[in-house]
Amino acid sequence: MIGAADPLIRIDSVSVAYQVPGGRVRALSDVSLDVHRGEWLTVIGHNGSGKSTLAKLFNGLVIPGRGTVTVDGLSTADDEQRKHIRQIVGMVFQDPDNQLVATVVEEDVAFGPENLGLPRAEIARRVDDAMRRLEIEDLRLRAPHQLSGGQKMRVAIAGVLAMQPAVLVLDESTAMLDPSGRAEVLRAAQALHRDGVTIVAITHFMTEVTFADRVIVLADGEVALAGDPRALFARPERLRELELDVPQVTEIAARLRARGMDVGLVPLTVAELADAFVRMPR
Amino acid sequence: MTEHVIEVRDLWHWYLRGTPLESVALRGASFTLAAGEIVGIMGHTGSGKSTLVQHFNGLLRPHQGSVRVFGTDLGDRRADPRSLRRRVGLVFQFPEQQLFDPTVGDDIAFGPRKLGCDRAEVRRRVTDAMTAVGLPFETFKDRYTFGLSGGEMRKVAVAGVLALEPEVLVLDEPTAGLDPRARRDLLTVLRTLHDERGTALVFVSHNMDEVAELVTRVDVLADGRTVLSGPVRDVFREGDRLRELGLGVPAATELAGALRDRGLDLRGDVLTIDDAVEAMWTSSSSPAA
Amino acid sequence: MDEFELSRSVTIGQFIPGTSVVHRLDPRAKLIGFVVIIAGVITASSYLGNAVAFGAVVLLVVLSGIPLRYLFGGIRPILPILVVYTVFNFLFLGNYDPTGSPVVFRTPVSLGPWEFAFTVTDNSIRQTVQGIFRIFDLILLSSLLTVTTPITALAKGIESLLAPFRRVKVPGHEIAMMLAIAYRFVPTVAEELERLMKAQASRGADFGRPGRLQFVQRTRQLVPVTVPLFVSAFRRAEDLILAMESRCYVGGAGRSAVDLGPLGRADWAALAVAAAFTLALWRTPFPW
Repeated sequence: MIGAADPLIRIDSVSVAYQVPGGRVRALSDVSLDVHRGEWLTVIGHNGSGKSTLAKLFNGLVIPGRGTVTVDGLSTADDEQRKHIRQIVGMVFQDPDNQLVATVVEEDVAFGPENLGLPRAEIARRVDDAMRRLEIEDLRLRAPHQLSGGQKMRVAIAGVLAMQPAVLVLDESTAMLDPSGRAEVLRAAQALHRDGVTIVAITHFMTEVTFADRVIVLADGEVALAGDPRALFARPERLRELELDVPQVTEIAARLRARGMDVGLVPLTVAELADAFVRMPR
Repeated sequence: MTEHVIEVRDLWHWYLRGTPLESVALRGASFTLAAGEIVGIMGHTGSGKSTLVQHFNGLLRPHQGSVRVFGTDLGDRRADPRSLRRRVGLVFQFPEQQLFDPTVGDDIAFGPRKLGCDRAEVRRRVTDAMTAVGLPFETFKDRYTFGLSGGEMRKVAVAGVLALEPEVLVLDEPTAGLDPRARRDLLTVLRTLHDERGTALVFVSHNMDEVAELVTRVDVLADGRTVLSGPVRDVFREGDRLRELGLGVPAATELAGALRDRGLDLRGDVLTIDDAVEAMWTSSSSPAA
Repeated sequence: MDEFELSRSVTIGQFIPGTSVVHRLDPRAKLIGFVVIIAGVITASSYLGNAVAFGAVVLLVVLSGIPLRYLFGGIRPILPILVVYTVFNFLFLGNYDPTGSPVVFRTPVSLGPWEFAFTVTDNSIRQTVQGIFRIFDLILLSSLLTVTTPITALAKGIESLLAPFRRVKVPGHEIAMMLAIAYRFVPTVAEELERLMKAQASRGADFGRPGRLQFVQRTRQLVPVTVPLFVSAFRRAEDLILAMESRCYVGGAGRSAVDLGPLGRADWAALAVAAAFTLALWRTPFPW
């Protein structure tokens, strides 16, 4: 066990390479980063930046060829500790369908706790609690194919939550959803974050960066930028170089600044820019 | 009056009709498309958008109401939709899931071959389609389909439909799941297709910003009915109505609304980033409201 | 009916909620009862015995409140095979009659170099008729099982019954899990199949009914649909593995046991009736 102030997850000088027909592909090169207890960390990058490989490091689905990944002091390379690590770090994936295994919602949420061998009464308690927090109680007896994308994703999150993890990793969990589904998932993640769950969100949607405490930008298997969202958005040209989008409001503010009209801050939301603009001295 | 290429009037369609699980997908939807237009169809999930567009190439037949495509009445049992599928190309959501041939060139050639084109014609169409989507023929024609990136596979799927040389291209959420670069790329491809070949485009989309950028007209569906229809600026002016329907407006439009709420007098409709920058720039040079 | 609506066919055999006595039985009782009754049905070798067995199965269906016609719908897909099977049995079984029963008719046939005979004996007629009854019984009973028991209960029942065999390496949990996952994905894959067919039809693919059995051609025609389905199935499997491992799945070892509770009075009664029925069928010397 580590001290409360130490990083919960530590990725130390990690490199991962894959063998493909024709040679080796470097997915990650000498990447280091920490995840602190209770924070919301967003990892962003274009397709091929290595972010999907990075996501799988957090719970030991991928073991690095070089470097170490430690969760609460435990190494993911240690076979004995892996089950325990996966209870601390829960993960939700991109495809809403391909992570639901049971025939009804209630059963799927119970899947994780059952794997931990918990007594039935405890499982029932955790399932009820998780379903309540994800607002899916009315979907209890529905079959997965009857649910919308956002609902399926919330069921998946509930299934992970029932294992009472300290960290929730969202591996591009909004990529295949429509805007309302995306909003459902982000709302749920925010609620969990308020309750103290550490969130690690991997995404390519720049608009989701606004929820983060800290952002890390990956490009070509390396950490290209790190900082808080506002610091990142202050450099839209650099973001475009890294093939990332800039939220509309940030772009608008940047263009106004280029014309000599400075609103005085890097806006993250519509409200921020509107307020700043009207407050500007003429 | 221009002859409409697609004309849908009071269209009704049920799923699993006649079974205990029957449900109504469309309740009197309407739609028109003139040659060379770019139109957007918006609506929350379950509003009937996909059901509507599947009538355009005869995959679905109207249960009630009328659907005329290139003059053919699809309500007529004798009408053969297969000839329509050449003129109205339909690209489904996540179209890369339909790729089946291990060689890129052969997968794209499927459509032309089914049309009965000879070898030279097939080759010409495949080359054309691949050039149009930005996958050079020589480099990509022999590549292993399933080894390409997501964005490339999507382009192959779109090329497969383009090889039919349709006059109308219907795309269901064409940029869903793509990262920013691939998204920009695909939208440029589509716009060029329209500009250079006069292909009419129908976008079914949730992405307000994309819709605002590309289309000239928008139809909004809700609960199987067409509830809003008109030029894109007119439709996006109905911000409250759109929000009620579970849709949004482009970020720039939202910003304009927020500024007006704070007493600023902004001229004109704001749909795109450029609109917003211009409006904000000119508003600051005039006396504050 | 719309050309591409597959969801219709997928509903055959799916659970229909109800409050009948059959619905309310414990899944373990139903599974064991099913096996016991089938054993009885198979051992009945007289015409009367077959009729009694069939009558009992029909009675069971009536008791469940499910319309008989609906369950018979499950026979429709295999009707062609059934007809072929019956005709072949009728014509050829007599050639292999070990009981030496009286021959009803015999017609030697020669087709080129081959010589054989259509032979019908008393016993072969009996076997053929029995075959039909047994198939009907089997289909009705298994449909009844899946229609009155939600798949979760069935999977739990199977896992619970197989649990004691874990010590002899029978992977009861894994079997139940495989069944449940397969079942869960049926509607999802059906939707995917429908979308695929529509997408390929939009490119000019033709899935029209060729009418006759041009098997090879039909298979080739379906390649634009079968290949993507396979590719997608593999991707699903890979994704599922990652998701399941992330939730600490390591197979049946260490998992919470299935807890269905003790069997109730109705369950024991049902089992007793099933056992008595099968015993009676077996022992009664039916005259015909």
